[in-house]
Amino acid sequence: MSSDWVVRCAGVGKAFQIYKNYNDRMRQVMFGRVKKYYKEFWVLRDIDLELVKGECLGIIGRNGAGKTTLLQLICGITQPTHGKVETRGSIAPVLALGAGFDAELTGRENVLIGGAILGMRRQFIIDRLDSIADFAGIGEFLDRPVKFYSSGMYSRLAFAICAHAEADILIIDEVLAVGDEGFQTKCLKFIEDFRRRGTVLFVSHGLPQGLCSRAIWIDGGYIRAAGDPQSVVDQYHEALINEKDDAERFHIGN
Amino acid sequence: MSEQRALALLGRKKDVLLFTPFVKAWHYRELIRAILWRELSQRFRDSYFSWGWAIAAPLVMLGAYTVVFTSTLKIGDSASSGVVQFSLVMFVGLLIFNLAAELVYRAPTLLHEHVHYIKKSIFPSETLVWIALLRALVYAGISFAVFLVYKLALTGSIPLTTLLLPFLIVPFCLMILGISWFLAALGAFTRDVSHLMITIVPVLMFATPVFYTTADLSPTARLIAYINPTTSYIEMARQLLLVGALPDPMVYLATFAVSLCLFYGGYLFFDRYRSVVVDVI
Repeated sequence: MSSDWVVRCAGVGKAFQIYKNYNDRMRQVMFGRVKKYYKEFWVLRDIDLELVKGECLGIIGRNGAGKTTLLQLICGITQPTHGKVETRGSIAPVLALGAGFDAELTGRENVLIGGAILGMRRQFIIDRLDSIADFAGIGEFLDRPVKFYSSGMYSRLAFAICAHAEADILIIDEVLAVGDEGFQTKCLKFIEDFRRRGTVLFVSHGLPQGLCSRAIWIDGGYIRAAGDPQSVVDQYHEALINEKDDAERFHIGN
Repeated sequence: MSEQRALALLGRKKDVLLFTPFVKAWHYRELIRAILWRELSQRFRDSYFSWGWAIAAPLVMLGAYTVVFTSTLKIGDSASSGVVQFSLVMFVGLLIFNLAAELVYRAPTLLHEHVHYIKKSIFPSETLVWIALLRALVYAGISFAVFLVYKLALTGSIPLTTLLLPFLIVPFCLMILGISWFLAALGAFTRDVSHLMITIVPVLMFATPVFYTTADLSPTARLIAYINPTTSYIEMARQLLLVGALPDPMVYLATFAVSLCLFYGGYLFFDRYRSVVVDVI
């Protein structure tokens, strides 16, 4: 494989510890070295992945397949149970839009907070306030408390901040669905532009045509298919029709 | 510059040293500032008197103490040094105690409250404790300013030793930070920590010389009171602010050493469970 990787996952697995009750969790903290008090729920297993600069990886899969966990692992938010996740360069995570927003504060004030959480310096944000306002396109609502925003306006402002982060890797978790088509087009255009200077990981149930250079389909914690986006999406859709949507896949234990 | 590189400049990457928390806090200063500003600006939003309330609360409390203790109660030997003086003695005790109490109350739920930050963005969770401390310090600072004005108005003087207060506040804050990191990490695993604090802190208030001084205690009780490090801070603050005398250097050094240990120990605990905590909140 190439040596100029930007994101690399080697044999990555993630198990969450499932406790029968709260006391077991305390026991695990105190006597964890002696005995195991939990059952494991494997969210991800044997994930091998390598991305180079300029790639856009689309990730698809059913609910609970492990898509968000994979993104969290790559961001370094949570640690893998085994295997190794490595990244080169700074990451801008868009796992939830406006997670740091304060409903009482105005949009403008929230931009400063949201930007700071993405690692931007205060002066850097202030210099780009006009550009952020322009991208969000919410007009005078920028100076109103965000509790009066519609959910679309909320997402617009939140994504506008993320779009101004100076990052090498952009990680987007299915957040664009709330915006109207005009805004979605704007976001997709931004992602395409971003690919010229960085790498994108993109989770969605439907991959927009031509956006991704590669796609993976995660099913039950494993990568079930990988490669050309169109063929992966086709296989996924076929499986959705043929396989039943039952509870068996949320199995706890080995 | 990334956090790793900032730490690499110090020569060690993985090890947690005594100054590691400071390096990291400095590295994340812009983030700390933004969230602190958010917490402060939303506190009195949509209220007409806004920050006037932050001044009114300590002022009313001081006034109430003076009135109550002038007309009714006489407690212990310290009452002989003047009733006005006694309300100030209590106020200094409360000021120090409340600073610690606010953090101890908040710390166990701190990570739960900010779960969105921690799970949905690349967020250094330890900064939450710094932010909580700075927020508490802002309110304590307002109370302190009220105290100074009140003391000046009633007794006509402020001792010069007041200027030495930062030497007391800095180790005190380090101690609270350490305890808060410990409680925050522990509180992530079980909510009982939060309930425990709500239950025992009011009791601790009576075990700490807030409404009395250690001079009122029997020698044995005094020894027990000093096990609680907050006791010596309150006593030393009273020396500086009210008596105008320097605290016993041995007591100061011992308290400083204990505080430093709590600071470092608390941080080590937090650091050790940092990555586990994400999966349980």
